[in-house]
Amino acid sequence: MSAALDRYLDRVMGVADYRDEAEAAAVRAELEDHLLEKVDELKRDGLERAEAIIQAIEDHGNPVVVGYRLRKWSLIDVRTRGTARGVIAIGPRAVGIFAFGGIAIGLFSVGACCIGLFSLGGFVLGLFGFGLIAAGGVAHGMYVIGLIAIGGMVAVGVIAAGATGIGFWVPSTWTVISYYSQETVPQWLQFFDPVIQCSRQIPDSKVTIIILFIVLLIIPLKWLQLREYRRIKKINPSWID
Amino acid sequence: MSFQKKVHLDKKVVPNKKSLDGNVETFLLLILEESPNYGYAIVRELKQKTDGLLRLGEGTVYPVLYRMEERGVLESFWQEGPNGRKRKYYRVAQKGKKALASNLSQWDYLVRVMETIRDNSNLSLHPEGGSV
Repeated sequence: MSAALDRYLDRVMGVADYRDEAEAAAVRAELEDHLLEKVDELKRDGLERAEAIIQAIEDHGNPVVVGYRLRKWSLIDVRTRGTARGVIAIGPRAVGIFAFGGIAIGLFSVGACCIGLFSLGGFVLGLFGFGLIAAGGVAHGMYVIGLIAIGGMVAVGVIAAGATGIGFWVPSTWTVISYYSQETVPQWLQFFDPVIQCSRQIPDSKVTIIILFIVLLIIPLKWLQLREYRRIKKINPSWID
Repeated sequence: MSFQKKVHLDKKVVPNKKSLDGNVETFLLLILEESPNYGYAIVRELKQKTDGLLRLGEGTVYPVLYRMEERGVLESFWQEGPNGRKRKYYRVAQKGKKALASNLSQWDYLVRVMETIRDNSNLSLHPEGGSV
């Protein structure tokens, strides 16, 4: 076994972050067997041992990518590439109970594009969605569509409150396309009126969304990135780019 | 179910990565259906049988194998290889056989639909992408 292959496998297993030592040893043994057989084959094809090792490592793939793919569902999964999966998932794409990322799917999701029960971000789809462009059961943001849609600019929904509102009941003041007028709105729709009034108490939805975005996305993201940085540094300081 | 013949693919056609990724499991099942095998041999066979067109990162096959094993589609066992090293072999489990049959029938169905639509349309595609 060469030092280069050892270093490569250390890096893969470091990123893969297996908690179970026996399982980690089995995975490592399997990858090691693969690399050694590849080296043997390349040597038979006429390459020098050193060249064969480099080629085998290259063909096996970027250790960070391979390591990330080997990761299992975990409590906290933070990664800089690919899809993070965990109870708390943070990454370019994130899937989890709490998902934070460019594309986030989770019970609570925060990100540029997100889908979830409670979602906050740029393009949002959720039972309760807050975003610049939001769709869902209760959608709050600038441009929104939902059963209850509360929008800064345009709202489309059964109940639509916004600068421009289109819906069955539109308790808005500006441009309105409403099936029911204020006088004829049925009782069952008026039941949701407190929700609308409550949302109007929020002084400025844009500012609120930006503040929530910073608190819910940036701060946990930075904290967990720092945690991952420390973990990698503890295994091997030279892996920190 | 046999996968004996080497696949002859048009090298001018660039395979869609997403459709390949979505079918890696089926490729692996097809290879392992022939006989139990270990990681490196699976990768090698996959390359040979597809004329090198399926360029999978060798290391990325293992996460797929592990997930298939977790789902009960594959089974594994350790055995000493000819070089004396312990080696992990994979074989298709009963659940995997059902999954493979289902995947292949879906493929057949899709191909039949594609062929039917193509045959019924006025356009026939030239191999280099233009229509004739």
